[in-house]
Amino acid sequence: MFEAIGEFVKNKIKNILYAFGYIGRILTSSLSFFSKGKPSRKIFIMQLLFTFVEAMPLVIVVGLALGSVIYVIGYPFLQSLGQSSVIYSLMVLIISRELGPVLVAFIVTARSANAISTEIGGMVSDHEIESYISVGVDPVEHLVAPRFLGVTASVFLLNLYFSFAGLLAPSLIVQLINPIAFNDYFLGLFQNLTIRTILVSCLKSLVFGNVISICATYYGFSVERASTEVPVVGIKAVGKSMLFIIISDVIITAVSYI
Amino acid sequence: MSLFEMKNVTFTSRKFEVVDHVSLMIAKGSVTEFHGPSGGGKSTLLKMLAGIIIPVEGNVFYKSKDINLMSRQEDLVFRKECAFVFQDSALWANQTIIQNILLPVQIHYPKITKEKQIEKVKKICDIVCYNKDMNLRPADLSAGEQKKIAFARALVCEPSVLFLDECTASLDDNASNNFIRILHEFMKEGNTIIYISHSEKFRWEFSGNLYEVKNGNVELQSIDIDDLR
Repeated sequence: MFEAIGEFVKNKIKNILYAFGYIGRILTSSLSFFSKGKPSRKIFIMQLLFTFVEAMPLVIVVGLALGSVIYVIGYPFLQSLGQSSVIYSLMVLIISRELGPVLVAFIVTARSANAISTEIGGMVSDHEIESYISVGVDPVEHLVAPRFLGVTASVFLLNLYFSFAGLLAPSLIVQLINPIAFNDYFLGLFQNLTIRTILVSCLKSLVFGNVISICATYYGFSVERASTEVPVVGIKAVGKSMLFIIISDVIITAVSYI
Repeated sequence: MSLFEMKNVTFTSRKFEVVDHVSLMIAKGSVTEFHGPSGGGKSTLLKMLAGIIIPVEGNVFYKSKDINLMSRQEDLVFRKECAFVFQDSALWANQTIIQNILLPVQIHYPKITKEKQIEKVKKICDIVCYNKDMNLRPADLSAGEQKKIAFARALVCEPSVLFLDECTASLDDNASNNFIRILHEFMKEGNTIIYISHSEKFRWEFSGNLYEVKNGNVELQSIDIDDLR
């Protein structure tokens, strides 16, 4: 039994060290990507197309819906408490800083983490990765770095669009339930939209983008040989991405309030 | 001096020893065959020699340099000089035929113009007798045609060592004869071939050092051409 526990701990430590080494390789490869990644640029552009452009309508719709719901439910409630002006800070807090980045990250995880991990897993089981190595292409530089940068940029941009849609939608809804001038609405918003809020929101989206792409590619490469392993790594990539998104969100939120 | 040297190499997969403390040498300009039953570790051995998989124990040397400790620049030179044709072709499914052959050219000849890179690709496609649309995907081709593209991808950067893992499997007689002709020309230039094949015809054409691989162990055997005839 002790031998089994020792073996388990040893393997866990080995995997953690491997994961850190893997993250280090991704970061160094990403730094030099634009200077020497000519054949990989197409993968970066395609990643932006799949993760950012194709997800944009969904993210905007979710943003519009969430912004409207917060205003429609929150405004009458706060008004009954005599705190209607708090609605602006509540909206900025939920849409731009707290719920928005997490929701965008979950949408990207559901769409792209699964796609990336199964694609890479399929490439491993079909020996395509070995084939890259045999011609002198570094799989991390060629396959992972463009996906890492593409997914990170996509989550960052989608988060901006989400915030924009989420904060803009109530300006139209407000005309139905509590007609006020557009200027007054936006003035209320901008007074609560601080640099700190914007920076925290941007930081969260960048970190979440990193987490999604690292988890997706890491689990993709964990396929050993059978094609039956591919859907399993897809599930693991999505689950672990969500877990690490929540953990990193808690850490960033806690640090940002100190 | 040997071109390749394996020293006490072991490879384990899921606690099974696929290759067990193997040492061997391969000379420049020679033909070497790994022969043996399926699952005996031939492909693993070939991939370790080609630096595609890393041994758990031991070292593999190419021109006296440990291939797993090469710098990025040395590795690029090694990859240009040593090409590999996979048993299942292993073409990149999400890329077109031209992109499959062009990528090694872009990696190893980054300074030549795009037109010249494409010219190289077209020339090698003529040599392997591939005359279909270059913008098809591997899935649009038969297994034999995929093999031709895999062969073209291996030859496009003019390597001096060819690793062939069942390279004539799934080929018709014409294509197989064409491959053999190309490989004879390749050999005439003093290049090295290291292969696995279950085809008697192929073994007859390219007889050389024969290593029997069984249960992860390797034994050098003498080959009698008359037996093959």
